[in-house]
Amino acid sequence: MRLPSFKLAAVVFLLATPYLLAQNVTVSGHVEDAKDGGSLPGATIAAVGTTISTVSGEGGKFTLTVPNVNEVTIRVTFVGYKTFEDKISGGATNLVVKLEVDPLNLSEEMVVTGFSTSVKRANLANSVSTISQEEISRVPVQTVDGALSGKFTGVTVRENSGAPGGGISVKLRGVSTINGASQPLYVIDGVIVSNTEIQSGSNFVSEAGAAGSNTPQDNPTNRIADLNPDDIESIEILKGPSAAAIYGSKASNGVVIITTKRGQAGETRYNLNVKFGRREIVNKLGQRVFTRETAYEMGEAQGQFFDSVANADGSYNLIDYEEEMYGNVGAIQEYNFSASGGGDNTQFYISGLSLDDEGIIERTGYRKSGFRVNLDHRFSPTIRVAANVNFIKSISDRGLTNNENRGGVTFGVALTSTPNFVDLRPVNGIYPRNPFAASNPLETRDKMTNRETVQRTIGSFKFDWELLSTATQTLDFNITAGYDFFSQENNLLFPADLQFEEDKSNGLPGTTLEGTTDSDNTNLYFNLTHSYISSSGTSFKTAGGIQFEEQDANRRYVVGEGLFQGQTNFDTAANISFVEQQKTLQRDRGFFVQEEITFGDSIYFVAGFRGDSSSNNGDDGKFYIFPKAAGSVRLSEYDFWSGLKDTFNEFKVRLAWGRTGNLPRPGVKFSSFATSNIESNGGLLVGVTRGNPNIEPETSTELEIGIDGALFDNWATFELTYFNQDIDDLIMLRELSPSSGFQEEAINGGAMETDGWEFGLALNPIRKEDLEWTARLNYYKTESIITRLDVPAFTVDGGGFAPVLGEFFIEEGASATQIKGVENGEFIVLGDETPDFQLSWDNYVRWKEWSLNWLLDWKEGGEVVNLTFLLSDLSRTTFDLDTPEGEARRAAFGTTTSQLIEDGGYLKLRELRLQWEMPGNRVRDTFNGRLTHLRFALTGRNLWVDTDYTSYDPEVSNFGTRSIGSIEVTPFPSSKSYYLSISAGM
Amino acid sequence: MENVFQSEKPSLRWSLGRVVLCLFAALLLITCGEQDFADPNNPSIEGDAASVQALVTGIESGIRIEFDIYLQCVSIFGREAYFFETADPRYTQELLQGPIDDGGFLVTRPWRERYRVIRNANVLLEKLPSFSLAAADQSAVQGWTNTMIAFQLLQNITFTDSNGVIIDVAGETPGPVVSREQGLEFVAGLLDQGFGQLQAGGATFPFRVSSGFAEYNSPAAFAQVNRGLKARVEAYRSNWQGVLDALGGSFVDLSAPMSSGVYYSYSQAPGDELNPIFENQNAGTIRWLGHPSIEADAEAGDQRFEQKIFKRANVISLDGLSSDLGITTATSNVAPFPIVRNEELVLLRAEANINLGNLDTAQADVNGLRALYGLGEVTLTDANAIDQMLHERRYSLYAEGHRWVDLRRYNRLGTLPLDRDGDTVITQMPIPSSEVGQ
Repeated sequence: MRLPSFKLAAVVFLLATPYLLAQNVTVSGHVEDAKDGGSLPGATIAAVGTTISTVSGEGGKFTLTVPNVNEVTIRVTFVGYKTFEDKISGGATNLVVKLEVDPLNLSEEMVVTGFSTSVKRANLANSVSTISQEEISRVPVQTVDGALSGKFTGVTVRENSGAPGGGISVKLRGVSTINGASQPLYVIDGVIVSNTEIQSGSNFVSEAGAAGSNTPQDNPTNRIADLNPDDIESIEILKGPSAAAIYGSKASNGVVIITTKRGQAGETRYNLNVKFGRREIVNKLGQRVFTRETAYEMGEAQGQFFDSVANADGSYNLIDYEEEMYGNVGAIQEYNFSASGGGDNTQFYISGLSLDDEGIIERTGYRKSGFRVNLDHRFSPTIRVAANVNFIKSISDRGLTNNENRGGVTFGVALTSTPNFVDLRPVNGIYPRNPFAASNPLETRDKMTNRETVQRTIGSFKFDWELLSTATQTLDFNITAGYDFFSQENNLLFPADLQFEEDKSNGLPGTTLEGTTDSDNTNLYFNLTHSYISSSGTSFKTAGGIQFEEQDANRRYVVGEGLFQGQTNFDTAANISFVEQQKTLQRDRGFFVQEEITFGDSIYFVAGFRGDSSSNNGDDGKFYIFPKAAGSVRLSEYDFWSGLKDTFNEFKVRLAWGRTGNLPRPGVKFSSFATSNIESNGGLLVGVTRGNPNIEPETSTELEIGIDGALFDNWATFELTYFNQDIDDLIMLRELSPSSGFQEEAINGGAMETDGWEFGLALNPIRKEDLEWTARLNYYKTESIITRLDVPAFTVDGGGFAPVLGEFFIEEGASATQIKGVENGEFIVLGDETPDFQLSWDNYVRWKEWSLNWLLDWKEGGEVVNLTFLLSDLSRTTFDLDTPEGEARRAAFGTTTSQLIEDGGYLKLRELRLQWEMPGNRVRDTFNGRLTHLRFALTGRNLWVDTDYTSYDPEVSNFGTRSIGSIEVTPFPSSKSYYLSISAGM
Repeated sequence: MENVFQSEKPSLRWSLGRVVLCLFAALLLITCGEQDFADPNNPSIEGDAASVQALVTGIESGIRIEFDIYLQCVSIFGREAYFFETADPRYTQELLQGPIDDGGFLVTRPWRERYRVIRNANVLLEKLPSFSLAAADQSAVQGWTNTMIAFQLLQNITFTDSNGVIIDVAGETPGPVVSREQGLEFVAGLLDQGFGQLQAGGATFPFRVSSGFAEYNSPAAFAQVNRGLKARVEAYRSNWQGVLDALGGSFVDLSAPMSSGVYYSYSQAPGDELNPIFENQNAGTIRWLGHPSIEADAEAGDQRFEQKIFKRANVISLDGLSSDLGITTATSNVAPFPIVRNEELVLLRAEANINLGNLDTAQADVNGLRALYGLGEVTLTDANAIDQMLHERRYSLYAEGHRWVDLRRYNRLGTLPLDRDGDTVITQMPIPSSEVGQ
């Protein structure tokens, strides 16, 4: 191939060179699968050397008209198929394009690079991973973030607990903040949606935040959980600042771009997916078998109790409390229905979901139902609109787990001090009082409520106007508006006859809590995109736009105490103990400009910047600039590569640089009074936080370098990436002299550096009619070092309870995720949360109509602070206390930390699916054309785990979703699930 | 651009495009509100939301915050009480055995909340000229506010004692730590200043106070409270004539109810606080328990002991300590808790007279007080007067935060009973490690 030359004159956009030999070439026909002849709607048919292209519609049909030429080369591309090219002179009708399957050929896939632009994967200058619908939902999953585990390089997914309804932390390329927002930005169909995490308020009952750590530990869910995984067409992940710079000051944790399914012209297609499943605990820890002696070691009272229930030989009726509490086999049912279709001008996709997923603790579970309508309409050849509406209602009953400070009211903590010779099971509906904890956890479970109800509407609207279209250039104007509203209601009820309510010191038994949050997110974007292709084949794409974003949330909590039996409303309570209202308002404005240049098919270059201002910044009017630049060269397109072409059919080097930001939290710039009240007189008392009117966003600057290639005609593809992120102006909370009357203020006072390697390998070694095998390996590792700290070294918010209990400790020159603790009286480094590496292995094997998928997820190293055994050791109930190891751990309590720091590495069988699919022609014959496909599958999630971690699951976080910190305190244990799925298409 | 549009044939669709554009323009107006807005949750300190009433109520409310931690600490130090918190060993370890963690919440939270109230008081004094009050009313506000600042500083001085205190806190950056003596001198001066301002303060306060301050809710009446606090400060400075002088202007009165005084108030009103000291004595387990010595040392028939201690049916134990004595100084969850009251002033008068050698005058106060609680008369001598006075203070002011301070003043902390090997008596709290100026 000839090296294309760059002509400056070509940048002059609107000067279209008229072609003199006036004639139009029209090509029409249809695209089909070369193997089975099935039509392929959605393939791209482009005229090479022009900006003209179309997409095949119903039955794979297309028509393409190129003005003012005599002959044209058309190129037909479709992800997962080999590219087809043909030179057509004078036009063609009924052209049949047969595309051959090539599963690893993703080079024609269009990857989103900004608000209105995308580039084909072959030219992409960043490592951007994409997964399809098939990979997201092949094994059922409650929440979409859970489906990301093990499917990408550089993406670490952690389930914070096993409680139904979500609560998942997603970290892209390691740690990028300490006190800032820690989760990626979620963009669905072009608009930002909320993934906020709202505490349920259970802290009011558990008082978990009352002592060693004042950080909430309510085991919250994060709101991306609301999305229906079955509605998703694809998920694309912009992992670092170099790829995500165009999203500016919200993107330092990366961006997850979700595209939902859309209708395609043609006969209406119906799809029904039914899943039945079971959920059960992954592993149980076991029970200690007490003797008279060990019972007395617990205490005089426990010993005497043992004597009162034990037989003469010292045996007793052992109650397996793990089985009693976590032994429920939850039933799962999920129904998904969708219909899609439409005509040439209007297409639709509608879907409905109903999910009922019981937890492994009785009376817990997750229910979700919702619908989606995605509409596309073409008003004229140049004006298109797309409108999407999604409504979801979810209800999760989450029990009462995690840490507490009430003497044993959460299930787990109560069980740690309840020896298994005490029978707490109800007799004739009467629950015995627990003599050794503040609560009878079985009673609490059976009478309490901790319900989260979310109703959410997400709507987006896209208006596309092609202002100009010639053979060499197009100008598109686009408006995107998004609206995301949800109302989250948390109802917590603890009736007056619960043990710990009756014993309450304020004499007001019975607690009801009502938490309500209304959250409104609005986005409005205006974009202008200009494309130009020069006669030498160099194409230019210029894009610019402005963005308006607003987040407005209003959260209220009311707690009533002193309830009449059976009453739940707070206005029936004897006392309103606590009321709180918290509003969050954030308004941001931004603009961007971006220029992309592609020389032929081989060199791609992009540069641009985003300017962002936000009400969260000290100076709300200041625009912070987030630049980016990147380039790639496909060496395999050059003549000198021809010798290597048989081995490396594709080889690309790429380099990318960019910057993103992380905004200060809303309100840290304000110095305000707190309101206080005495006998219904309102008062003002200075707040504890001093505002910083100079606070700025954190910035993260990334350099990414990598190579991509394909071997032996796409027999294998690989991708190798190194990245380095410099994160500066980290927001720190500086403690102020208490005598100033203030406690702390936020400052920009630190820097860190995160770097890492990512390696992806995909193999397609067997590609036969009856037998196919595709395998993918994803390997990555990262490391984060604190390079500057302007405040004294400190324990991360939510990073621990006390030095001797292990703390995630931030200090200059050390890893951002190190764990320190006390050993021989010294406060020293005892571990690090960041794994040595993560590796996943995803497989697809098909033999005739049978296929098998398995996904193995391996995390090597990465420590977790396990405080569950600390509590059960204190009460001497841990299952292994009669072993030397258990006794040594118990004896070390309070003096050393190392026994609490455990290797959190694991090897998990994340997903397993065995599927039988009836061949297309047999389906049509058998069901007289009423069905188009029929599939049966047996699937499982987290079926098998191999780990050295001794408690329930090394994937755990008592403090919920945070940038740093894996701490276990009597969590909701993790579960495994297995399903029978039936999918039928009509 | 215009000719681009015209090159296409004009049609309905173009106007449709314009309609859509207009809709979005409208949407734009709705979406793009001001980026420069005030704190949506709370009023700005610099802004004009504050009023005398709001700031006074804020001060009254703020003095209660973390006062329970202060009271727990000094009562545990003085072996008046235990606090059995199963989830936190600090109450039975650190407070009884030391060393005290100078970054721990037991010292930092009460300390910083006192200074927060002082910050609020200083905001009130700074804003006062802008409220356009009459001169007398301004003076009344200044007098009340300075008295409250002095009261808050005094509480931190009793906490950290010889470790000193920070008195220069009106500005942006706090001043250095000064000695206990300098601190007490400053507090005494502030009380005198406030007294003068209250005297010039007219007939009524230009603000309402809570029920705890209702008995002394005029400048003239509150001046008596000011003098009562002054008497306490002078006693801490061993300036005995100063005690008597101050008491002369106070509400001390052997024939008045001993409960007369000012109080922290609590209520069940939404947003208000409940008395954190109160515990339901019928519950199976409680946390706030009397030290066994309070029972062992009580005189038979001392109604003070009987009123303040509830003898429980069960013994509660933690960490090698046991007690069956519930503390009922707070009779309900909205019971007020004393700041300064007549009984203390009567005993301060007796103490000053004892130290000045006027044993007969002191004896009249001591016996007058004992008679109220069904106890017989005692005869004060040079040998027993201090012991007797400290005994009366111990039972009259039980678990109100005095015992530890009193024994420290008389160098008698060594006489406190130690329950376990390794127990010791903490003599003063450290200055919090987060004080940059220390």
